[in-house]
Amino acid sequence: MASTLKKIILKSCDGKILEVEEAVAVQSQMIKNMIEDDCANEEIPLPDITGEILSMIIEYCKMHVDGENNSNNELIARDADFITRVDLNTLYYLIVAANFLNVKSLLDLTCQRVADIIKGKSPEEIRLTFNIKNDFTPEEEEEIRKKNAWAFDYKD
Amino acid sequence: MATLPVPGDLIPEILSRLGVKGLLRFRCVSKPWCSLIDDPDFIKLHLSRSRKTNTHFSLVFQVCHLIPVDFNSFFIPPTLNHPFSDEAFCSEVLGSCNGLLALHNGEQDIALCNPLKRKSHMLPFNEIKFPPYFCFLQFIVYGFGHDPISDDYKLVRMVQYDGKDDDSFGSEVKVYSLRTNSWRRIKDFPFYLYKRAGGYLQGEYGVLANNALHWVVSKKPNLILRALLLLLISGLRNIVCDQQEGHGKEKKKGDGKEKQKKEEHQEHAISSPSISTQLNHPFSDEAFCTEVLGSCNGLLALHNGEQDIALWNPLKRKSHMLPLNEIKFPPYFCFLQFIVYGFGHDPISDDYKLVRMVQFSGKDDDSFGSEVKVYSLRTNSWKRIKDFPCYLYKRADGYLQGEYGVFANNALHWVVSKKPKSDTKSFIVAFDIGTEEY
Repeated sequence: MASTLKKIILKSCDGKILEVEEAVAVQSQMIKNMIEDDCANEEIPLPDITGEILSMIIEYCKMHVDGENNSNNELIARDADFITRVDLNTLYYLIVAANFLNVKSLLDLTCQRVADIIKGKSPEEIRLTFNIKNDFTPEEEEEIRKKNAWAFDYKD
Repeated sequence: MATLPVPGDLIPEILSRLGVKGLLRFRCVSKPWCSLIDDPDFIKLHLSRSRKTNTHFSLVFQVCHLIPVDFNSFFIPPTLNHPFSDEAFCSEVLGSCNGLLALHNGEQDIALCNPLKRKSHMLPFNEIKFPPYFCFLQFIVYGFGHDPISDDYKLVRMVQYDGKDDDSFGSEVKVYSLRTNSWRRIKDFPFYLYKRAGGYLQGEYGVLANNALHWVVSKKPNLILRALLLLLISGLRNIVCDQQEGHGKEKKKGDGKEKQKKEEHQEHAISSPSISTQLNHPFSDEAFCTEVLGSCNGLLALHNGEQDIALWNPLKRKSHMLPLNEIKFPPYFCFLQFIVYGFGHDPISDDYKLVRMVQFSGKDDDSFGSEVKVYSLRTNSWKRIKDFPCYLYKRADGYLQGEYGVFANNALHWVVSKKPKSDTKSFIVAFDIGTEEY
């Protein structure tokens, strides 16, 4: 089949060029739309995604295309293996890229990973992790804490 | 610690995967987080995600105290702290929907309770107006549900009176809306609420399915055999208009089958003239009442009151008799005490399984024994597995009736205690239908 052999050319922000089979590339809804609109015949520049992250995303998409006939459990196990190898910094870039490229399953996987990382944390740790400024006055914060005091024993 | 400055539009994606407790704690992270977590759209996202992924599920068992079970941790807090937990009476669960419980304290107070948020809301008091010409208050039944159109939770209360002669009856139906926080009376209920053979109506809460509440009714009192499958309120949102039109019944015809199946789960072996499909199940010719042992994916496990058990697909009208399986009485146990069943589907081996637990009691009060067998539809055979390590919990009234295993998260759940007679220390046992372990 001609369509499966067709290659899509992706260019990362640091100038790395990757050739990807169309079947793999269409895991990204964004690229799929571009192909449908006939805008994917030349290389597609991806301004915010580095070559390293792009290779990871392609690895992930390939895994899902190749694993289509595998059982659901096997795919879940592979997903888990993929995501636990990723450090926090990389995870951040993966989320941003998965969001930009609109790879739904990867976005689900990365968001779930972040949720798992933060679920037992204190509000202070959350502010640090996400770089959030606390805009409550101490009195306001105390008020909110009092309301659900039982939720602060950190055993989720 | 490395920072993770996730773009703001992805924060809801991430937070909607957290448990309620974490969310309540993270309300104090910042003002934007607090308003996000309190936002109704976010709450809906969280609910639909939890439902899709089967996370944050818990079962609440009603054994005088309410016992919540969290599936993620299997951690069981001693009892649920609900608004009536300090009172002497048993509180009753009138209905549940999307994790909200409607509770009744046995007197006149009703509250809605969110056990995960540990918050509750008392309903305004609402008196029952007794019409002078009816003599006896016969039943009060409740139904609780969510209307997705108006995004409102509603509690329906139906009061039924008996008249002086056998055929007359009256009713008062009121609907409470959480959005307006008020009760209002709607058109009377034109049917007679179905009474079980034993005279009990206990447990007859409305069954919520397809945005409608369902009750089993008959046209007249004393017409038990011809009880109608009830098809009254065709959509909570239409609760008023449908009743005023009085055509709720007809409107149901189209999707009657699906509902009927659900209804059958509650009451069985009843003909349904209104939708003119007599359910011909394998035991319908027999004199005994047929009992539904469990249902899963539209399959029902039926028992004829003697020794025969059949699996039945009401939509295909096909049934399959299970091979007969004798209970082996161990010589040193004296009394057959209970037989309980549980029915479920194992997605791994794609097999339907029926579990039968037989419990014997010994000569003294503390000894008991069990025999547990599992039937697999795939192999069409029974096999004995490890004995059940716990004592099945007996209700205060001595009944174990209705204590079929509750199937959720691919495991069957029963309320048990370690020893006979230690009613207060009951807990829940889960039986994994795939691995066949407790």
